Amino acid sequence: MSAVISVKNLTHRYNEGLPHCHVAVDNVSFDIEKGDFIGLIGHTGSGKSTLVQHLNGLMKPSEGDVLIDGKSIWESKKSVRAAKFKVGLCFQYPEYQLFEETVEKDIAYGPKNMKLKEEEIRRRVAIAASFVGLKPEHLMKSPFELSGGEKRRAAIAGVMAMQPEVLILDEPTAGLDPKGRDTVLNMIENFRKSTGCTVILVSHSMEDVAKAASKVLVMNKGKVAMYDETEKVFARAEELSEMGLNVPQVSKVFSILRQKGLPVSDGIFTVDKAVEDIARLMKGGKAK
Amino acid sequence: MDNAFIKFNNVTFSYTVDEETGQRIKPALKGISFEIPKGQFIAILGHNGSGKSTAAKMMNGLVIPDEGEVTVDGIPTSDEKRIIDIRKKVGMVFQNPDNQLVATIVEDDVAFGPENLGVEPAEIRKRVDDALKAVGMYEFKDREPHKLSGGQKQRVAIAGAIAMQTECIVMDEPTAMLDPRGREEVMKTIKMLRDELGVTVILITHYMDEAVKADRVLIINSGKAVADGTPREIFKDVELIKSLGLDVPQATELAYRLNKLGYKIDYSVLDEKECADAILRLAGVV
Repeated sequence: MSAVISVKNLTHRYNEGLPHCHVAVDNVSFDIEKGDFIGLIGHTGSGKSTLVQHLNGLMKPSEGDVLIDGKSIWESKKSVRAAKFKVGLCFQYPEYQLFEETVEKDIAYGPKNMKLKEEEIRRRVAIAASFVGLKPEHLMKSPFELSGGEKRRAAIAGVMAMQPEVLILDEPTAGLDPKGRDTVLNMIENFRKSTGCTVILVSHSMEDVAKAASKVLVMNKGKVAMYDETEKVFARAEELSEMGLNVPQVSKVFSILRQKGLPVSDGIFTVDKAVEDIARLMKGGKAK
Repeated sequence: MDNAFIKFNNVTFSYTVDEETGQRIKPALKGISFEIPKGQFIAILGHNGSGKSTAAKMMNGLVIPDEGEVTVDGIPTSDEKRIIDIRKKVGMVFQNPDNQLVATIVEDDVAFGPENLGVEPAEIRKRVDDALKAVGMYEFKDREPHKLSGGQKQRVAIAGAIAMQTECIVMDEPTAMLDPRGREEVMKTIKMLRDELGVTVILITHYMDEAVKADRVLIINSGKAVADGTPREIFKDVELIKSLGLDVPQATELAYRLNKLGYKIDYSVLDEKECADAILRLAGVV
């Protein structure tokens, strides 16, 4: 496996040289492998937003470096610009950033900036729209005529249309109802599977991260506190809770069961796996 | 219900008017009726676009019904002369904490409401201190609001409503933008409002684990009330909840799915402890 993004000794200080200088990211190093689906969690102020803004060169490190495909983002003016296209960043509540006359033009905004040919832009808009479940009739509408959920999906399509190697989404499900959350998570996973791109999902919902991510990166006080497979991270419930985080509710159920002496498996963090594990246990019980 | 504090009587409302006929179309609320007694903590659920936020905005007269009537403590919200009385009784807390704090210092922000009501300065001082103590933010009174965490900002917004001595606080997804600790802080504050101050709390949320903590759950779908009961009654009907685009807590879902597999497990469980107990009973451990 090759690293698509390499973060090397990254430090970011706000208000450098002023009395209220604040270290938001503190000497952080890690690699992100191509094709991974990573959940990025951390409490408010843990440094995760500052961190992700370094991954496509929106922010410049105070110290250290960020490499994309082995090359520093900050090598040249050209590479800084290229980073914006290779790593697509979708901010929180992206629907507030819709501005074009039609949904189609809005989705086309990124590809247009990439100076692609008209035909290619149209092709990419159509593909991105289908990934997020927007129909041709939606594309001709003003973004402001869409429902809240449709607006959110249109905004995400705008980033997908750039066909980035890495797609970073900051809280893409915030404020959506349970069905809307599942729809958005599924469409991100479909996009990852069919394009082979790498996904970083920033979320406060442990349930969402558990459902979607294969690896979890935990930020705490500007440092990487954990970076491991999802089940291994959620097995460390106590440490997570000390960091103001949490584990999915089923994991809490399982930790009570374990305390009471029921021989359930470790690393259960989705309802599907929990059902399987209890069923396994019950069958074993009957056999005895 | 004689002690109804908020009353919706056959309320219809639409945001859009057909340009040709002049008629109101696509109603957000369609003849909805329900009552909320004083001191209750009620969670209102519904998918995006179900009409629940419109209902919330009607509770202090931000939106007035096209047809039917909403009354607050007996006062119809359509009575323009008494709208200030209604706003004194019902406070609002919205989703984005950054959009509702107005002052540069925490205590000034909490004082903003009572100042506008013309309360005496000495009384304002007392109310602000009491309100900040109630939400556990007194030691932050001299801080700048933008430097607080999301949960802290929401608690300051709630303190602002307490300082106005509102009898009821309507919260529209107050935890949607918060991290787990922030959500916990807000939920603890809601419990305090109900248990210690006797405030009526209306919580609109997409988080089912928050709804289970309420006294009552009301589900709105397509502008109508479709389910109303205690959390235990409501979340037992897993199929109905899912058909409405909602979800049940993971603990309930786990027990429900085991039950569907043929295991004799009670799935009227609401949290991790109840679910674990039910599984332990099933496994014959207790």
